[in-house]
Amino acid sequence: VSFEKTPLSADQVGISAIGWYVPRLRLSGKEWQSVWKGSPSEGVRGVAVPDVDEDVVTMAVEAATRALGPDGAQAVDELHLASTSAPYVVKSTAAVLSSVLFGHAVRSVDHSGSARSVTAALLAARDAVASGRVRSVLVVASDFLVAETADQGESRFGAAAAAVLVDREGSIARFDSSVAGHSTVTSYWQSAQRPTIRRFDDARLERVVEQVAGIRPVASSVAEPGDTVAVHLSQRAAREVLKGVPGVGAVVGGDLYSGIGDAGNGGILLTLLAALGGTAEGEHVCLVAEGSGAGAEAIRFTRGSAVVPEVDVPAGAQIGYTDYLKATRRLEAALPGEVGSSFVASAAWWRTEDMLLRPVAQICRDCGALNYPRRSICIDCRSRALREAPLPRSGSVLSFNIQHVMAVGPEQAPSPIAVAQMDGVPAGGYGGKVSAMVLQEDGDKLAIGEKVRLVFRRAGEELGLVKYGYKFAVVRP
Amino acid sequence: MSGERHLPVAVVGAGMIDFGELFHMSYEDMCVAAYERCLASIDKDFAESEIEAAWIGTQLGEFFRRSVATGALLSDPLRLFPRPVTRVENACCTGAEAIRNAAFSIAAGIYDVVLVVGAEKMRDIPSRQSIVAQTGSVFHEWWHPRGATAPNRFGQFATAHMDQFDTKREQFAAVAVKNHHQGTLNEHAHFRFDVTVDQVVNSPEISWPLTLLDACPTTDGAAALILTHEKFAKRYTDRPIYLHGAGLSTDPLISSWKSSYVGFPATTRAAGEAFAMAGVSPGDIDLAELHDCFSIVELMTYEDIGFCEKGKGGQFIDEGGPYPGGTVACNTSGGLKAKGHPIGATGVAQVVELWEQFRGEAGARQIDNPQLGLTHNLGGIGTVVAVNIFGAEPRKAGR
Repeated sequence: VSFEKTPLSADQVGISAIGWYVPRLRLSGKEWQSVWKGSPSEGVRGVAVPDVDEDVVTMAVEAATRALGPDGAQAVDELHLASTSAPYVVKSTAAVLSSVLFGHAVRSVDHSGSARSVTAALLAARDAVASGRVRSVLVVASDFLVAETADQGESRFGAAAAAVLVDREGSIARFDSSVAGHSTVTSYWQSAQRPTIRRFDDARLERVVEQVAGIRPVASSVAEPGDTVAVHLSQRAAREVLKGVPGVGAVVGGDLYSGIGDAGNGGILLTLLAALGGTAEGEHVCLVAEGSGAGAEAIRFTRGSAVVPEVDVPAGAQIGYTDYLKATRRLEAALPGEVGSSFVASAAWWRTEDMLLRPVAQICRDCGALNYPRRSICIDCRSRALREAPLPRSGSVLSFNIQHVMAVGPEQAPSPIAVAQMDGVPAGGYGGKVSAMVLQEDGDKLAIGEKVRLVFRRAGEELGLVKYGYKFAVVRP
Repeated sequence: MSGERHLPVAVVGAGMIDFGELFHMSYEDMCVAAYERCLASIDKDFAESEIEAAWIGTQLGEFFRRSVATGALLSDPLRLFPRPVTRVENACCTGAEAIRNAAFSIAAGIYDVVLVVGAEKMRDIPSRQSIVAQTGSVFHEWWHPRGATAPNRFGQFATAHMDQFDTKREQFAAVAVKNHHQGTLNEHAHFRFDVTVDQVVNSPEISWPLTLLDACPTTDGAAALILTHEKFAKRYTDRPIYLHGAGLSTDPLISSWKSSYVGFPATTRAAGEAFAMAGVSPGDIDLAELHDCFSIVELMTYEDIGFCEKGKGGQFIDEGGPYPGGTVACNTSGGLKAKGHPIGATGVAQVVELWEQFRGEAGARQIDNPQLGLTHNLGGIGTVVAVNIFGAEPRKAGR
């Protein structure tokens, strides 16, 4: 095992914006144990679980949207996505993310293969900016691994997404040195033939590998006395692995890991954000990432002056094991026969993708009406003078129902559905409105006049191709 | 449009098969049986060779049965060829549209005697795969997500109507109760049992605030009419019924493009056109076959046609307005709710009810000496609405 330390770059590059998303559902270790009787994973109270209408892509969109803010997307030149649990083996997930987030051409790169992908993405972003090739790179990490049924890994792997914007401003943190290690020792893996993670069930060996060939050597190599170390492990495992590393100050990540589980690349980047939130200007944070079968990588950051919010992950909503199986798509409704082609693979998708994913709408230059979906003649005044504009993301409910009769499958019945008058556009005519499903958990909060906002979610599948779209979430101040 | 518009058309034969889950009958069997009943209803001599052309109203042939060349599905079993047969599809107005377009051919002077058949074979597939359930799967965009079905859209109208006008759940449940009772009196009806307001309100929710018993069933059926120029009507019967006016209006299809969630502007416009052509007003109508695909739609239609003020539909039914003997007898046949809603057949079968009522042949549901009646169909989500007005006597000139 050898380690090569990259010296501090003369070009100052850093992180200037952050965002994250953790799904609200939790499967507790106790619930898992009540079904399978074995010991749940140590140091994890419960794992965060994406709902049926969520996945790595929707979580990534949430995290990225929060990092970019309302106007941040235009400045981004390049997108790097780190994930080992994207919906496809062949078909770019980063490209979907890019289509959702950006109205301009943004080069998109998928990083995969291990939980060390996120550090690879961060370093690629650093180098791209440092070289002067691009000004600004969005790095997103999003993961949710699914272990085999009854495997203890079900009580270990959780879900999270995080995003950082890398540029020369770097007001939150600046890249310092980095170090990469290499190892093929493997503690968990997913073969291309199976949809679930398999594990070599030996926690003791995992710790030893982390000590000898993984986290410990890279952390020792890059950390300076007093540095905060960000590591996505349970508190106990982190203490054990980092024991005796000279100069390590605070170790951050155990609380997060306990609350959401091992969230792979998403969890690792979120741990960095948690460490940045807990440090002051001039202090140093060392992010250490280990990927099974990949070795470890560490990046040292110097904290900048910008204030960042504390990473505060709510307790979430407990679910039973049956709902966990539904959410992980292992307990699926038998759907009526699929049609012979998929909309997502069709010319019609190509024609409408910007309208469906961005989503792009039109405003009438003559009467101001919001026209959505796309039209040639204004829905209100018949003008031909329509200009493209982003679909407003918030509005108020005009009417709603609670749907029990589902068209294709009962995966999320009952489902609230609402039509809303969108904000900032004329009301009272034909245009100006959007109809969409409402997050299932918000059904009880619905009332006419209630404020809602659009959130990116899955809208079913065809032939294994995911259809993405938007739902309403109720906004309660 | 200029000048006085008038469709000089009479109905001289009308028949329908008993609606229901007709597992034993094919689409063609239903067309033939409805046609035979229609022929049997013609009072005087009629030679089938007098039929010069035919219109067939069917909405879902391709979708449910992968059938194409729908005209041949009428022409072949009835051995109509080489006569022209035209298939019409216009959502739930399909049957009414077949009548209107056939009437145009007579008004244009092209034909003197034409056949109109409306037919729909809906129960060859499970009701779960019906058009009502499938809406969300034939569209792919996220604003037509899983669950964006007909119950969804009409449920939203019910929610908004309750909110804006303080309409009570029990008031639209009463529509279902009324129409179920009428169904018990109609041998053609799919549902022939009474329900109570409690049963309607407490039946399984399908699209809150709507429950299962607010919805019409999925039904097989067919109905047929013989239309002729009014000047020839008495050749075939001493008691024809007359088309006084026909209106059709459109409105946006997708639910976010509606201009109202408490009514259907296309109903008001189509009815206005039909009333103007007939030279009458809502108060002149004795009976109305309304498109009660969901109970709330009939309640809103009282308002949209003008039987009562906007927002007063609940009060109208509370006060007995739409019952036999009330202001206007609505859905004496049992409506879509009890008689059933085989989509292409529905608008044609509504005329069969007017035919029986005007001729005093409606048995236990007969109302007293009706003179004017209308049929109303609402397709999509108020996306296309047809209103046809018929009279027991010819339209008075200059009215």
